[in-house]
Amino acid sequence: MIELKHLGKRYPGGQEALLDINLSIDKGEMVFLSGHSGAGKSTLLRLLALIERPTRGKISLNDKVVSNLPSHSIPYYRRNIGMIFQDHRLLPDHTIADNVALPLRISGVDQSVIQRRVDAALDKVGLLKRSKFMPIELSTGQQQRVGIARAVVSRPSILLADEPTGNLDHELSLDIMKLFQEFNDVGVTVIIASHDQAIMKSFAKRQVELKEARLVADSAANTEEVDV
Amino acid sequence: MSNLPDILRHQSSGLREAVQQTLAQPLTSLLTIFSIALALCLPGLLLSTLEQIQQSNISIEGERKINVFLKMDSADETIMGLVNQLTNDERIIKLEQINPDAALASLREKSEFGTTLDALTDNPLPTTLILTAARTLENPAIESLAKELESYREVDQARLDSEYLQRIAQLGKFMRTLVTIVAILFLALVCLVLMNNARLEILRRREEIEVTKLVGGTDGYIIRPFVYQALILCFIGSLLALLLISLIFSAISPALADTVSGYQSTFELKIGQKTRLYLPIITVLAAVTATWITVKSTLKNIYIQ
Repeated sequence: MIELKHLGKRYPGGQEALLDINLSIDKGEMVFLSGHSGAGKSTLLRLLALIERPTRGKISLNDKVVSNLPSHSIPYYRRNIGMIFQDHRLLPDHTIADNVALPLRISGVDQSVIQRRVDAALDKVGLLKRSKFMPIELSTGQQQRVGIARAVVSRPSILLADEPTGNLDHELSLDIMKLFQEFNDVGVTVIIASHDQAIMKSFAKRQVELKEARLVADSAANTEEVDV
Repeated sequence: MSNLPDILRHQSSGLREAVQQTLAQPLTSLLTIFSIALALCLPGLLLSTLEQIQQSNISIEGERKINVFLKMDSADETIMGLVNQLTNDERIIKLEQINPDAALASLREKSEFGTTLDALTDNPLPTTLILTAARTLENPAIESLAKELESYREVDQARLDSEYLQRIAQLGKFMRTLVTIVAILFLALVCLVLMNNARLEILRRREEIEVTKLVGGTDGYIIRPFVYQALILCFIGSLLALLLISLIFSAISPALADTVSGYQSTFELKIGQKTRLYLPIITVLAAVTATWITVKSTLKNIYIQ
């Protein structure tokens, strides 16, 4: 279970990116973070991945506060989280298979296991036959699938996706979302930041809305202007 | 907590990636190796030369003399016996005997004390033997020979040219200090080259490093390939430096042989054992440390924690 209590983020320049966010996400839940650009969706995901630290409040994972983890423990925390980015963040001079294998290599997994799990992840996203391709040889949608394969290859319990369909047309976006749905079906907690209302409506999942750095609606609580 | 197999797996993975990175940019790697080799050449040459000088028998005959002053009451037969004994000693290549009368006459001639000396009723000078030690003897052996001579019943005093030894010691100390300073400066140059390389490489691979961090890469995982690459480049660079030094010595040896033959010496330039051992070890250790510090501090500038 992920729990955010009075979470806030203020940048050195004084800009408030998040204000007093209180939110609980159950294990195995799929949640959409919605809101306009600049509402704080990406910041919230960055805080969850500990890419940035909150300036107020705390983040707990399974009743353990993680927002104050020492820097040297953060990489091990991140190995339990799969991250997907709008711009994919694939390594251009590595093959698709090497990109997907990266989290496993970092964890020191045996080469034979790496091979098996990379193949399985690429098969899941429908790109097994292109494992030797370079990212530039793939379409945007395919690159996003590689990003998803990389995020799930180490079997994380949480997936964080920041505008994963931002550059894709509706059909491709639906395909990508279906992949998230499949991972969620096997118990992975999925948190997706998106501003695509049509896509979110296609999946009857919990939707948390952010506006001007505040949490203003949560479909699970069926309220607006929630303040837990 | 990592166990040994995990540690070995992480280290071998870092080494493998370092080799891949080195081979992926052959020209850059070669240029770095040559820069390191050239930078190490001068300190290596000096270190090796100093080492050879310390081990060699280079000196001029006149600087290996021991003045042996015999006791005043030594009988001629005793002196003759001692001279015969010393003449047969392999450690002594030349023996010159100066009788008291000859010494007094020489002193009278060469000094301004002629009148004073005339006033003396007895000759105060002892019989003196001037011995030249063999070239194969090193300084400690010459000192030991002098002590041995002093222990003889008929010998009053055996004196080494201590001023010469002191001069040699001072020169040696100066040379060591000079070589150390030059070695440190050039080692610093090698470290700077590698530190700059590492910094530029991090900036070039910034995106890759960011992604690595995002998917759970530790600083250690990122740093290891850089450190191993510095190790590989420095090791090959120092071996190349030794090869270059060897070639330089071969080139100047004929000219040097002609020069030192005038001093009846067999001095020859070759890479000393210490140089062969310490040059790669110290270079690699310094480079690895410098690279580790550079990468660690540069990683702090990459925003992702």
